[in-house]
Amino acid sequence: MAAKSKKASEEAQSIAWNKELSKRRNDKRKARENASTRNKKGRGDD
Amino acid sequence: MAATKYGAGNYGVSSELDKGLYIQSLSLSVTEDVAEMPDHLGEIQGIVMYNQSATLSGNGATYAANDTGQTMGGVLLINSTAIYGNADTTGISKFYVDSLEISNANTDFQQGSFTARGFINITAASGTEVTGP
Repeated sequence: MAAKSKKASEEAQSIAWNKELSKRRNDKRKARENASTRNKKGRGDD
Repeated sequence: MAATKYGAGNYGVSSELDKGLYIQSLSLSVTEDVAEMPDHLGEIQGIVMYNQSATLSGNGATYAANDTGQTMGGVLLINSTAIYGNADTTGISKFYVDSLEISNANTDFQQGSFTARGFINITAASGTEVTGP
């Protein structure tokens, strides 16, 4: 029973970490995309 | 509907639908490094096996479009823990996703696959962001 509870707790921890990791990577991707869009507009070559 | 088996053998694969795939295959490979002690004739007189690691890979049709259900760089989340909780992989309890793939074809459902690696001394259920030394 304790082992099952530990496993569930570890899985919850992993799910939370995966979500955080995914969010960080998405945020960085969006920031890069925004920076790229700003640069393109700045060059006036669109 | 459940399949029916007659006779011996281990058939099929456990469902991973709630984890994101209509799983079609799941495989595990385990390796250890081997230090060898050759003698003056080049013949091995002793070995040490150490540093066990394992690779778990699976594939199947996706449940949600464009999503394998796993997180790149994250901890692998699957139901089939029995495949790595056996004597062949003693001690390895966590796998970390190092490869994901999604593929579309004009004659097939969208397929997703994952590969994850586990190491004998790494059991962390979460990680920390590394921004530099």
